[in-house]
Amino acid sequence: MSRTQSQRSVLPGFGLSLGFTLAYLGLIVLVPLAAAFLKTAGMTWAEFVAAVTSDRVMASYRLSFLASLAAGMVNVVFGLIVTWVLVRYSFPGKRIIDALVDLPFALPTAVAGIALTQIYAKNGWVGHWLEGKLGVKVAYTEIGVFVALTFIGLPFVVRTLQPVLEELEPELEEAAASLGANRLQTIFRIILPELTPALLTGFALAFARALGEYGSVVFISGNMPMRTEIIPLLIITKLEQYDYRGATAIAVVMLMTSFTLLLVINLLQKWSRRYHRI
Amino acid sequence: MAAIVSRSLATPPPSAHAAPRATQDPQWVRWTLTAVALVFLTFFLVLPLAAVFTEAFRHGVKAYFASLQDPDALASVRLTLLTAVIVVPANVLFGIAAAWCIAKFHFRGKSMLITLIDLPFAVSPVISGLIYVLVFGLQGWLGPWLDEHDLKVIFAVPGIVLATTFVTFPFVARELIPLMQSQGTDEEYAAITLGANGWQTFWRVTLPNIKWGLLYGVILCNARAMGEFGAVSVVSGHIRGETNTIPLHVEILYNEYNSVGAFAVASLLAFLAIVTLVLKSVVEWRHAQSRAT
Amino acid sequence: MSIQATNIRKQFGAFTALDGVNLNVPSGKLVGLLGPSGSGKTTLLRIIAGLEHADPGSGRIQFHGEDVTNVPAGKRKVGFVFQHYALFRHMTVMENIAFGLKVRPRRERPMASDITDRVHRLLKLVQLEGLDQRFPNQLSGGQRQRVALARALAVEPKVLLLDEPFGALDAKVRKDLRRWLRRFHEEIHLTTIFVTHDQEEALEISDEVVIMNQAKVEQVGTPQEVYDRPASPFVYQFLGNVNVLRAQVLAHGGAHTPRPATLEANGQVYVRPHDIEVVHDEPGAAGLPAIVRYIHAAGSVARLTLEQAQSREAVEVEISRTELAILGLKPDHLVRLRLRQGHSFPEDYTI
Repeated sequence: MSRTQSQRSVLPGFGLSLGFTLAYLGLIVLVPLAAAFLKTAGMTWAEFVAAVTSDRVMASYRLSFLASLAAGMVNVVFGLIVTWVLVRYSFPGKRIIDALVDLPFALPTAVAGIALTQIYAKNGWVGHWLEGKLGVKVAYTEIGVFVALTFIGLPFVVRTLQPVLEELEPELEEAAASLGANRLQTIFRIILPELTPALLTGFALAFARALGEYGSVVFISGNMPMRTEIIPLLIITKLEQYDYRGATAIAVVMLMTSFTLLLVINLLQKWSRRYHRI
Repeated sequence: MAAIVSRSLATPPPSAHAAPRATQDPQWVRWTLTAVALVFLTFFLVLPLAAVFTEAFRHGVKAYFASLQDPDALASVRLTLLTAVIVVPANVLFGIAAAWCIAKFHFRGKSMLITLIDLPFAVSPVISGLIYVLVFGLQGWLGPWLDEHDLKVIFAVPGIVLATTFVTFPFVARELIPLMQSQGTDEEYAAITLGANGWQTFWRVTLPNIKWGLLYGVILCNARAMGEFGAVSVVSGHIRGETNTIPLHVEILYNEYNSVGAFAVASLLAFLAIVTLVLKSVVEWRHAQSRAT
Repeated sequence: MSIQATNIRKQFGAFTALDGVNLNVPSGKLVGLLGPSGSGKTTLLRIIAGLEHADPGSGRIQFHGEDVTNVPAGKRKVGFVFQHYALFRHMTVMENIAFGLKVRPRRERPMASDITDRVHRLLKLVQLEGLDQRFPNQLSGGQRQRVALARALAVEPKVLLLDEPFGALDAKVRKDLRRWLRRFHEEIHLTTIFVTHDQEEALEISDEVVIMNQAKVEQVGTPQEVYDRPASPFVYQFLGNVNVLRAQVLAHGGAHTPRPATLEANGQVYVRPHDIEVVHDEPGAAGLPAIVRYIHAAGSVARLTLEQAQSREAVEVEISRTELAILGLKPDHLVRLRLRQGHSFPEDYTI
């Protein structure tokens, strides 16, 4: 990371700021992350595979993956509606609603977890109605995991979509209308294709966050092995049993998944800039 | 004049269903979508928030304040504040340094550096705690050496601070980097040519330009630092009155079926969240204002 | 198809965009809607297209005598070209142009092969053959402009409306494209209105120019009519450089004015710089005495700045460079100015 000769700057502080940045990044982030990979390097391949593919682990992958997927998809649909309403319409209290969308970012996950559990439990505000009238059990089931992951994923979709929708030129819709397209055609052929990269990015961000989420899920999931145990919980369980290698092996699988998703998100963002500025 | 008035009165009233503007949705669509959005947000956002306060005050104001004055609760508040006081300034310092070198200079590997700074956001909180156990825990690299010198990091305050630093690491930097990049270097160069030294340039030119972005980053960083649960849970050891932050204390109370206690302490964090959202909106508004002029 | 707009009013909050505007565009003409920004020209165009609606109770829009005031934009058979083109950036040039045909209800939709044919014919017409698989961001500004035009023409509109069609292009492309548009109009003879704030553009290619100012139409006429016989001081000033001379000064100076009958005691005379003749100040010579201050001869004509000897007010004059050489003018020379042609307006006109 040496500075190229041609760009010598009269501004001071390059060495100091870059040095501090690299040292801090290394100590806080890179060295500890490397520890996880090195720990698994001490395992044989067979040990590693056994640790990350046992039945209980596979069941938790399945739950985390499917619940995150479902939550992400629900957030894409409702996030789009919420964003549309916030950007295009005006109604009393809109600013408050707009600010409230960030609640899952701001509310500590543990608090969200116990609050959601309280509401969706058998005697909670929503839970007693769902269980009593519809016979649907939410708390302490897979649905509970899905509810918690939907909660924490919503702002990712809305906040990714919002600036894109705000900057969508009204002329595009007017052009479509003056060419004879009806409103539905305009939405499906013009607006949605324009929003697709942002929708996918928002989905990927929400999905990535959901895979790793812990605090809001552990209270509502009930944590039954093979049924409602998410991956992060399994890591903690293994740690509490002093199975550091097993915990780390699962963590490495998760880290690889997260980094792949990070790459996908970066590519998506590049893609969304593909047609930018005409 | 009279003729004009009478003529305009004579024209038929505009048809009630005058063609809507090309980009406007029909009334019923607007109503339906708004209703759907509000119902969804009510179930997922409003009810949880309301539940926290309802449960906290379930047995009245007295029980609420009694829960808050419990010594263990107070100890958890102290620890959370201590953590934030250490973590936030450290990450502010880092954020400014990182943004300064990335936004004001050209060097190879810059985009790689930006990606690495964002890395902690991609890591599950539980893993963020785990990696510190692997470094400082008894089974870890430095564990035996720390144990010999009677230093405790894991299951103690330093571990909590480190794990919290990790999860809040990118907040300030990622607000400042794009902001400072968009501002460019013209003003700094102008200050230097006018004879200002490096510090003067930073304090008098750069900092005033980034103050709203910085404040925004600080608010988000602080909210996460005070509310972090997963990462802290792994490294804390859950010792009541000693290594429990507020979120951990909430968990303990909740698992002991002390609902009022749990929600009372949780209400502090919910209140913090509301303050965060309000401040965030204000800062966004002010920032938009300062850019508009 | 002719276009008629009658008594159109449009208010945006406290701002009056259109104040009872009437417009009549004969069939097959190319009409330039000219005015400064904020004069209401774009709003008028958008109302004709149905993208905006005139205030309730105000006038109506008719196409060929048929009232279309309440017909939605998509059913008006209007081709609209937006200032920044509004091309669909996720579609290729082909898909953009075909859009208006593909969104038609099934029974009105041409067959896929017909659509392809028509797109190719249009691409040929706008001279963009071979670019059908490009995306808009792979085209130059001028090419995007023509794609937008082809897209608007694909639906076989009865009228073509262009909002600042050359506004986003650089000077050279702009000049080429507007000549191209004129030739293009000769070929297809579609009733066309284009909005512009550039008087040169409007005068060069329009059959008729409509000059708007402050939410009202100031004058309608052929380019030559509006240039030679401006209906108001505003039009006079908007369509080129002008000197405003006080009639009294002219009378005292003994300057010859061609239409003294229209001059009033305190009236003002509007004179184009090229309508002033410069002669040497010889004994007994008639004309307004003035002193040469600056001579700017780097161009096709020489531009002189003079100062009136009595009032010390500045006058701009354009003479040919040959004439300048013959006169042998230098700064500080005293000369006399004679008007070949000038206009005056009644007192209550103010600029």
